[in-house]
Formats: sequence, structure tokens, C-alpha cells
Amino acid sequence: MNEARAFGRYILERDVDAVTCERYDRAVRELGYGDDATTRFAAGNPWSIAALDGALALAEPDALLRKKLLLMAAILETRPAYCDAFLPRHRLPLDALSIGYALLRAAVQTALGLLLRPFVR
Amino acid sequence: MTHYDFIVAGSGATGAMAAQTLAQRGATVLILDGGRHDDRYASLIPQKTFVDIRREEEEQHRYFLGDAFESAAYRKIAPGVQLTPPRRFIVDAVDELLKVRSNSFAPVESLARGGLASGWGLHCGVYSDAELELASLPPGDMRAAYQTVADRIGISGAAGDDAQPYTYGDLQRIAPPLPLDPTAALLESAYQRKREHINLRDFHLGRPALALLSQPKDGRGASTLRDMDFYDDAERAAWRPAITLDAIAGLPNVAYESNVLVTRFEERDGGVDAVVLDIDGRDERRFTGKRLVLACGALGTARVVLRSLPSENVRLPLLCNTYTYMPCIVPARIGRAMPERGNSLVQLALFHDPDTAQRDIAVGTIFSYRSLMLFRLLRETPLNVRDARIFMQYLLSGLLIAGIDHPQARSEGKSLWLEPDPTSPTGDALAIAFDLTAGELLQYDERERAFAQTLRSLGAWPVKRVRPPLGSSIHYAGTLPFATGQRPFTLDRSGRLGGTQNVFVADGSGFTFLPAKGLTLSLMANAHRVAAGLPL
Repeated sequence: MNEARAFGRYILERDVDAVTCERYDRAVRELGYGDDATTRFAAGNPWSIAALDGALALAEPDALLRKKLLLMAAILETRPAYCDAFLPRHRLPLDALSIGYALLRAAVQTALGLLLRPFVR
Repeated sequence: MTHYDFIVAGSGATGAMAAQTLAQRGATVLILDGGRHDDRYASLIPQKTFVDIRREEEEQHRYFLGDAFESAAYRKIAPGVQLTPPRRFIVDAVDELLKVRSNSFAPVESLARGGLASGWGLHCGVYSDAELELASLPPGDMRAAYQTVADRIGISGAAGDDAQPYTYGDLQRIAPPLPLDPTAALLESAYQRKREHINLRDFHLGRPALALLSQPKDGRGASTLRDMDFYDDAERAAWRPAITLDAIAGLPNVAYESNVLVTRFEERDGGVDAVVLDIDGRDERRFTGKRLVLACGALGTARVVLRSLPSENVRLPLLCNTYTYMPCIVPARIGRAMPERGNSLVQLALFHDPDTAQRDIAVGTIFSYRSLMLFRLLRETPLNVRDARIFMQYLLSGLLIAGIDHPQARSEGKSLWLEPDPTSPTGDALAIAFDLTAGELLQYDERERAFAQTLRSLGAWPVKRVRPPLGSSIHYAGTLPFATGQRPFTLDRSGRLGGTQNVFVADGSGFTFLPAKGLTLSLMANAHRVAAGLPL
């Protein structure tokens, strides 16, 4: 449940509800996803998730942490309460600034994650 | 034991079409198939648009992700993984019963009621006379057969645009086209502005012909543009073999036996036995008819024939279109709203016809990314999930997928044969060697670059080129090529299998060339042609 809460909050930048967390836990069991040091570290240290996720996206896209984060994204996407965060919608030109910020933030986090990754494996 | 005039093995696009033709001619027909179907998800999906379902339905995860979350599992790009949970029945039991050994080729096969066409993309294309001749199909008979099939299934499209010569041939009674997605509409208007220049580069763009109704027909509804085409067939606007099977199931001269796999045949005086494996019980059974029509798909039919005729050291040829896809960004559409109604099927077709003789056409099909889940895109993005979500949500309305199919002539390095396999219920596995020659690779690369250049000039910027495993096009043919004489492992023009009296093949096994156009309409036209010519 803690892992679900941490991953959900990371993806949406807000708390997610108990239904989502329970569904995530069930999905992890159904798919036979286990556990590893990186995932445990990320769930216990939510500040590190974006960094490790970004580094793995480049270096090891099928790592367990990535699989679990994408699973959480899939579950969030199929909840009416959160689906607007995944549907295309009209954006104002000024929104381009927030996209630019997200990309810049992603680059910085990835660099941090590449440095951090050897210490949490 | 009941004697049928015809036993039709397979209920996919070709089996259904052949059975309908034979039944209409008054013959008694028995259809045999694996009978896999979806009895879990179809009834769960409400009659709402994709967007409304997303915003309102709490149980949507069941049909978007699957009850075991199978669609949310991380998978590498491979044939069949794109099937949505309500369509997974198409490949049910295939891994166990239709074993394949190959290092280079990953086919998709089906034991479903309706076969692979239960999930086909509905894109139709009529082969040119030159393509028909290369495929050893008689143009006159095929032209008539195309019209018969088109009248049965219902086709919508914009006959008269630049796709006309490549798509419709001389088909009549085409229903009006469905609305174009606004992102694709931008490309179409760019094409109109630059048409002369693009035509000089041997490219031609137009609206596709789709087996999707824009007007009601024969008790089926027109598409209501719910954008759920990858998940359900609620209005029966999309033609699937089940529509034809349902229509002929009530006829007194048609019988249907499901849950069986035709493994081989044995000819006897005045008839033929279809020997089947009962899929659940695993016991062997026989059905007797005067004639057997094989419509198991080029790979499935090859298995049956190789088991039934002396085939030691026999290798059969194989044709398959090589497929590449390119995600493209249309900058002018980024961040724009998308209409709630539409469809996610082929929006535009782009034809590359370098010799202008319609002999060597490669086909690009352009889809919008409307009704597939964003998490599938996030997997492919080299960014962290949180920021990739924000970025891709912004890009989504400007995203198109351009698929490119290459034509395939017979060439070296492409063959199949049976090998013993004690773990298989049939005792064998289909071994496939399919390697592209250096010349083919070079030609495909050049063409794909030309496609990318043309897409850019239309305002769609390819971001990468993905060549999934060979076999991904799901277009297979040419295993028992048409030939003159009665040579074993070939077909005569009537579809009769060489060395047999009463065994005919109605699928694409006989094609000696595989054009790049959507294959299913031509398969159905050939199945009708063969069935219409069989002696009663």
C-alpha cells in the first residue's frame, strides 16, 4: 500500500485514493511483479523516484521500477477520477512553458538518477 | 455419418465468404473451426464514446487493461501484443495448439470464431490488374468477385480522390466516407496544396476504403463514431466474419462445428475426410464430405497439407509483407482539442508507385492515436513517467502513426516446413525461415526514407522508425502457389490442391505475389471466386 501511495502521488503530484492503491496491489500480485532493491529504495524515499525512473528510462527501460510505475499509470488512467490527467485537452500557448519546465525537470532528474543508481542497486 | 457437399475448414474472412457462397448456391456446408470467442468483456462495454467511458465508468479497467491486468503488463514490441483485452480471444490457445519454431519470424494465428479478421483493421484495397497477374489471380473473375464481396460487407470511402486508382478499382456502391480526424485532415489539405510536387515523387494520398458502415445496411447500424473500434463491435458497423457466420447459421443447409482443429485430410472414393483434434477432449474425430475447402490461413492450411500429403524434406515458400511504422508529430495540432466522436482506424492512405504501373506499390496507412491508452506511449518514451505524462498529454492531439507495408515477391530465404514436436498436441511444430535479402533491406530502407520525406512535406514529422519482428503485418500468403499442371503442393487456378481430387484451398495460399494493399478484401474475393467455381 505504501508503494502504491508513493507511486501514485509521484505520477499525479497529488494523493491517490484507496481504491487505486488496492487495485495496484492486486495487479502487482496478478502479474507476478516481485521486489528489488531499487524499487524498495524508491518507495521508501519518494524524493528519489523521478530520478531513478528517469535514469532507468534511458539505461534499463524494462527494469522492475519502470514496470511498476507504468502499471500504476495504467491503473490511474482507467480511473474516472484521474483520467483527465491522461486525456488530450486544449492547451493555451502559455502552457508550453509548463511543458518546457517539465522537460527541463526531467533532464535534471535523469542526470541525478544516473549518479544515484549505482548506490541503490 | 453425415455427408456434406462441402466441408469448410476455418471460419475467418475466407472461410466465412466461401461458406456463404456455397450455401447460396444450395450446397450443404459444414464449417469447422476452433471457435474461440470472447464471453467475458464484450458484454461489459457500455454504449458510450471512448471519452465518456473514460470519464464515467468505474469498471473500465476490466476491458481496457484486462481482468488479470494483462494489457498493463510490460511487453516488448511483438506481433499480437497490441490486441486489447476484448480482442485477446483471437489468439487464445494458439501458443499451445499452433506451435511455431523460428528465429526470424513471429506470426500471429488464430483459432477464433471469425479468425484473425475478428480484429482486422477494416482497410480495403482492390489489387490492380498488374498486381493480380503477378499474384496469378485472374483479373476478370477477381473484379466481379471484389464487387460481390463489397456488396456483402459494405464499404465506405471517398471514391474519386487520388486513392481511387489504388483502392477501389472499378468498385461501385461505395457509401460516403466517415468524418476525417482533424489531425489527418491537416495532412489532406497540405496534400491538396502540394499535390503536383508530391505526385512527381510518385506518392498519391487519399481516403481509405473501410469495411465500416457509414449508412445502415442489412440490419447493421452505421458507425456512431464512439471510437471503440479496438474494443467492441456494438453497432456491427464494422464487418467481421461473425456477421456473415451469424447470417448463414440459420440456413438449413449450413452446419457449424466449433472447438475443433482440422489437422489433416484423407481422400476416399467420392469424398474426403477432415480429421480434427477436439480442442478440449483432445480426441481425434472425422467429418466426411464430398469436397474439402481449406481456409485456415496460409500457415494453417500449409500445416494441414504437409500432414496429409507425403512431405518428407518438403519446404513450402512463404510470402509476408514487411511492415514498419513511424510515430509522427504534426506540430500544428499539438495542444489542440480533439473531437469526442471519431474513429481510430486508418484515416488516410499514402501510395508509393514508382513505376506508375501499379506493379510495385508500397502503402502507408495513417492512423490517429485516439483510443489507445497513454501508458502504452509512456513505455516508449525515454523520460520519467511523471514528466512524460505531462509532455505526451500535450503532444497527443498532434500524434499520428504511419504504418508502411512493402510488397513481397517470392525470393530466397523464406520457407516453412513441419518438424516433430512431442510437446505439441498435434505432434509437430511449423518451422519458419524468413530472412530478408540485402537487396530487400536496401529497397525497404530507401522507400521508408521516401515515405518519411513525403510525410514531412505534408506537415507530419516522423520521430522514429520502428521495424517490428517479421510477421507483424499479419499478411501471409503464397505457401501453395498457383501453378499449371497438377503438381503437389501447388494449386490450379480453381483452387484445387495438386495431387488431390476433392481438396480445394480458398485462402491466400495460392498467391504468387503479395501486394502491399490491405489483404483481407482480396482474400475474400478470391475465396468467393474459388467457391463460386467449385462443382456442386
